[in-house]
Amino acid sequence: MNIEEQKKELEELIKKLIALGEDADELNFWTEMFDTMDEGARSKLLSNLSKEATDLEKA
Amino acid sequence: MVPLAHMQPDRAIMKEKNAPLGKMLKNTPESTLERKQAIMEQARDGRLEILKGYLEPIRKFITENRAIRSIGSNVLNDAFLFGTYKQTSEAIRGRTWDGKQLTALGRINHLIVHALYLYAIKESGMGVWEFYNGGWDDPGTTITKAGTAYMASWFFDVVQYHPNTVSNILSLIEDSARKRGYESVASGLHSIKNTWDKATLQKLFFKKEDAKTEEEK
Repeated sequence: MNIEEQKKELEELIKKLIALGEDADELNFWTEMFDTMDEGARSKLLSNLSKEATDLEKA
Repeated sequence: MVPLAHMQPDRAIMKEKNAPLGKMLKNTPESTLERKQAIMEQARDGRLEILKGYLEPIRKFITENRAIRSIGSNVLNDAFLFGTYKQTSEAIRGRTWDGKQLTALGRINHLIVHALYLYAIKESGMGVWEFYNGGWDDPGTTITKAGTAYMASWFFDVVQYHPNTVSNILSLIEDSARKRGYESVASGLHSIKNTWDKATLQKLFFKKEDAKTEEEK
C-alpha cells in the first residue's frame, strides 16, 4: 500500500473513530504527523486505529 | 501508570463476567461505557509507544552529536527531549503526568508547544543548533527562525504553566522602558500586565481543582 492509499485509510478510520466517540483533537494530530512518519510507524498506527475501531464497534 | 492502563480492559470484562445476571443487565449501559473507555485508553497507550519510536532518532541524533552537546548542557538537551515527549503524550492522554486533567485548550496548547519544538529542530538544520546569528553582545545579532520558534514554544509553555513568570517579565520590561524614558510604552505594558494578572488563565488549560494555584490550595 502506498502512502496515498494509507492516508485515505487513515482518514476513513479517523472519521469512524470520531463517530464512535474518540477524541478529534488527538486523531487530527496524527493526521498532521502522518507524512513525517516512516513506513513502519505508519503501518503500526493504522493497525492500532483499525483495532480500536473494531473493538469499539464490538463493545 | 502504564501497566494499570493495560489492565483496564481485562478488568472491565472480568467485572462484567463475574456480576450476577440481573445486576449485569441493569448496569449494561455503564459497563459498556467503561469498556469503551478502557479500549480507548489501551489504544492511546499503543499510540504513545509509536510516538516514542518516532522521537527516538531525534533523541539519538542530539545525544550523539558532539557539536550539539557542546552548545548546551546535557541537562538542557535531555530536558528538551523529555519535554517534547512528555507534553505530546500529555496532550494525547488529556492529563499531565502528575494527574492534572487538561481541557481541550490545554491539550491543543501542548501540541502547539511540541510542534514549535520540532519546527525549531528542523530550522536549525539538525546539525547547527543556533538560535541567533553573530555574537550574543553584537548589536547586529539577529534571531534565527529556530530561535524564534524556540522562543514561541517557550512562551506557550510559560503561558500555561507559569503565568506569574509572564507577569514578572512584563514588570521588568515596563521598568526598563520607564527608565529609558519610553513612558507610553511603559504605560501600555502596565495596562497589559493588569489584564494579564486578572485573567485566570490556568482555568482555561486545566479542569476544576487542577486549575488552582499552589497558594489557593
